Amino acid sequence: MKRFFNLHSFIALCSIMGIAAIFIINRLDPLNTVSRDGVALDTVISVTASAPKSISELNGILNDAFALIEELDDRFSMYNENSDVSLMSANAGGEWVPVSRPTYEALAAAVHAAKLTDGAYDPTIGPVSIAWRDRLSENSLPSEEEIDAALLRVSFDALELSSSPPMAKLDMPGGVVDLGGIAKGYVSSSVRNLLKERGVTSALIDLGGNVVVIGGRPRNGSGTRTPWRIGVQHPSKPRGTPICVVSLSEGSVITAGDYERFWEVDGGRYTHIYNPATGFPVDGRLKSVTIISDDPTQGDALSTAFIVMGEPQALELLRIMPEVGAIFISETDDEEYRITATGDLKGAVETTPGGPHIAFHDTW
Amino acid sequence: MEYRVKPPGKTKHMLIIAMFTSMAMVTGFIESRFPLPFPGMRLGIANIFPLTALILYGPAEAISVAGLRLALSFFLSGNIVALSCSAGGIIVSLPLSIALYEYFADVLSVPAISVASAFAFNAGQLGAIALLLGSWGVLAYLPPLLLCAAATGYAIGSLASMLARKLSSGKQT
Amino acid sequence: MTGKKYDWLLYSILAASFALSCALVFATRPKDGGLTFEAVRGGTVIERRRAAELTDGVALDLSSGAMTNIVASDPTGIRMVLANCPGGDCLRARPMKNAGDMIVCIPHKLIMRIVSSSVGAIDVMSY
Repeated sequence: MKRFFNLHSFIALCSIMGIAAIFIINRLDPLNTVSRDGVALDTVISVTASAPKSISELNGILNDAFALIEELDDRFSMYNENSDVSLMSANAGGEWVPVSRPTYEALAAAVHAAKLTDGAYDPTIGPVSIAWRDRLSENSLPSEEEIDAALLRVSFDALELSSSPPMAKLDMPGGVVDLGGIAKGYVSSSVRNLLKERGVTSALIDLGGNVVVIGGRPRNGSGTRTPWRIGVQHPSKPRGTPICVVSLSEGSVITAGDYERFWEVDGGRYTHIYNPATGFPVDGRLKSVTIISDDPTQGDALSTAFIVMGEPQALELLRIMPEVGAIFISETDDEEYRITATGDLKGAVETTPGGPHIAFHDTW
Repeated sequence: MEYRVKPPGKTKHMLIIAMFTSMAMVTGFIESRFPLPFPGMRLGIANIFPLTALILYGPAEAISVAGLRLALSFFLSGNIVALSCSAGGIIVSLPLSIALYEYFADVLSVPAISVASAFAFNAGQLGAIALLLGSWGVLAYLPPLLLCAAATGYAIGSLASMLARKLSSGKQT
Repeated sequence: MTGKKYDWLLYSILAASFALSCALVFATRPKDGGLTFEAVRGGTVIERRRAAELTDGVALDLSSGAMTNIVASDPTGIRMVLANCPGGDCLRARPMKNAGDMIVCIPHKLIMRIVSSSVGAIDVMSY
């Protein structure tokens, strides 16, 4: 009897301990991370979120995030004739149009940025961009008259907003509202708020190169928090090659670059960023501007505005905005690149091997 | 070889091998939850069962338990990486423990043999990962892994010989 | 379980192989190209650049207000060459050369170190 007891009780004990251990170890689940890709806002989107929650909860949170992105895309897109923006353009010069609260907020931020940059960023640039796009797609260029006519209809002063209930009006016949320069910023900001509300402790939101990060890279037990590493695209090298790297745990990194989309017609190069004062696409030495700050919405608008304004004027404005950091990448005479950045970014940006040095503008 | 016993009849023999194999599988599953630098790596605690089989019955049984456990765990989990790691580890460590036990059991204690076997097991696992990733850089993890191996090897060696002692005295041939 | 006669032999062989693996890993650790010089003052990173940029003779001024700290690089490594802190311990510290080397200037709340970086480890691109 004794030997029977020995072997069997041993096996029984092992099994019980084994099953108990499996249950206990399952409960001790630490941080989970879920990542998802999608397409919206005319570009590729990727969201990675980590939280001390189950994978299914995280998936639910991502579902909601992507649904939010789609909903906002519907409201902001110029190419969707039912969007708030298209409705405003259709009623330009006419009646007030009811808009959703997010649209109101985005418009308000856009007008604020336009005032701040003296019109270098202009959400009513629609007529100019449409004129160019229509011509360039048929391989020709708009005439002086066409550009002047379009310019007449560009004026952010004509944008009027009313907050409750949220309504907007573009008081310019033939005017067109284009939130392209601020939409990604606003959407990434909304997604960030959603993730934070739902308890996400670490996340990386990538809306077509418009990057917002939360919490640093997810901790993996050692407790130390390492910042996310965000590369700034090299103006001429293949997509994915950085010219410098930003280390950031919390905030947004938004780049406007003239290399992204451009047309080549008759040997000329026409970028997709338009100067609201001249009606022409920007075509200077400044190849890209990266804004690093806590406000993605404003950052998006500023990056576009700064490329239009040029570096010296941009720096003037940055003087009174200490919470905003900027990186300027310009082309030099001998087709090399020059990187300058605001002094507050000293510990946050680093060079790449073989890449250009970074000249920091020291504090004023 | 003091605890070597004769197999108690064919059916019982198969049953006992099966039980060892299944216990090795459960232990393998449990230890797979323990975080290690690379997914798929194991501490090697499940090796206690092939080792005990080796002490009690001999090389053939030890190989059966180890091989069966590898195959069945893979069929159950479908995880090729874990299979390669464990296979890589077993391929190096099992022949070593068999050789050491069969020829040197009178001059080497089981815990010592088990430590050597655990060293080989972890080195084999790391080697498998290096092959999978195509880079030898991962071998940088060898020192800390070997340290763990020493500890777990000694523990399972003592446990295995205790187990063998209990089980052999409990059996009547 | 009682130990046996030649256990010590096996253990020494194992210990030797362990030492060998340590030596191997140490000898093949990545060197220059992937090293970053980082300076932190009062908890804020004030400087981060590739260690290779601090070539011989180049001086880096990390001073802030009345606190003077100037670093330079020479064949022995990166070290503090000028500092007006009481005690001047940082001036006498061994030059930093490899990943993990560190020099601190406590009165000036300055921590400098060499960390190994890999630009390849980028999480996302901003474009």
